[in-house]
Amino acid sequence: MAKNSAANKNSVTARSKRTKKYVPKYLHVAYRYPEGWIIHNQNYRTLSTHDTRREAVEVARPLAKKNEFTLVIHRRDNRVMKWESYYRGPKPPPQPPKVMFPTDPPRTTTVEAIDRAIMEIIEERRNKEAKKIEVSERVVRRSKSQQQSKVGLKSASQR
Amino acid sequence: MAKPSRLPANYERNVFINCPFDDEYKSLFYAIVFAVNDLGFKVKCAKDESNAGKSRIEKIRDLIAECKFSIHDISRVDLDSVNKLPRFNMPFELGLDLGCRQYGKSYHQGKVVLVLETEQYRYQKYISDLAGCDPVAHHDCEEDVIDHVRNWLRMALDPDSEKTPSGSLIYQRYQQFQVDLPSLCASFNWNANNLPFSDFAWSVARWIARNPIPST
Repeated sequence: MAKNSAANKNSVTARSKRTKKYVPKYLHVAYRYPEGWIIHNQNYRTLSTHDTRREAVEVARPLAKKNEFTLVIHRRDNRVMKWESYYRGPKPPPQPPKVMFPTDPPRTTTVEAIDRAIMEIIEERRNKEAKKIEVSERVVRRSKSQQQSKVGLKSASQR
Repeated sequence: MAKPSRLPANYERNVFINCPFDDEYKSLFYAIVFAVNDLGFKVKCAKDESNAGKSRIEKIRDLIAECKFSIHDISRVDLDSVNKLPRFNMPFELGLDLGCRQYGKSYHQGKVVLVLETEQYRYQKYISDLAGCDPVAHHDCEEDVIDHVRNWLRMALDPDSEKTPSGSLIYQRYQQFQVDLPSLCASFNWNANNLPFSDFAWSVARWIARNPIPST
């Protein structure tokens, strides 16, 4: 019984290790008035203040490397200038952004109704496109067979 | 050490749009809404239905405080044909946003602003204090505005976790959405020229969800 439970435990830890998700953590170097260049974490907690960006980056970089964080260096106008990832494990490939849905419900209908209508429109469009492709393929096939028959006739007449 | 106060929900993904809501600007507004949604961000604007009980200025103040990103179009500075006066709403809201960045909570100091104009340096003639914000010119063109919004928001996305679609791909998808929109309007008896914002925003979001960008 005890053996079994240990084995179960081991398999569970192995599975959890395998399926451990990559969750990036960030450390930011940004400008704040009147403090100057600051290092802050992803919850906007200020960790240290510096006179120049270079100084702040020199402090932040080893910290990011040690903790496997992503260092985000900002411009003075807050736009991101550079992303430096120090995560050493395997990372999943980047994915297209996820859709964020509005907070307010639609005014004149329901979300489900909009979704259903969009699905129908997409299906209709795909059917139309498939028909177009079918027609163009048929035209190509017909022209090819006509050419072949012409070639056949020519060779027969030459004989 | 400065202690940050609680962040509003989705603060890092909210984009406040301050632009004219007239018919002439509608195509650009729709293009901006589509581009912002296609990049995985959430649009907030004064046309939102929530906080309906509040006065307009209170509503705008709250929206600005909820968004890390904001897009301000100050291109409509021409004199009104009826009153012979310019409209000051957009520059006023831009000022409110810059003020929030300066004097707001600790996380507000990280706010990022995009200023749009029709021509590149025209703003210097009527709002020279804006020097340093570097407004970008869209020339009243949907493709340009999508490109500017995409290039501006691209840097806010971690390249290791999110793949940013190109401006031309977003524009292509927006054109396809425009083709589908009349059919959608027809199925709900909507007037395509006068859509309530929440209906439009949901249509955009659901359309994007049903037409995802391929991951490879």
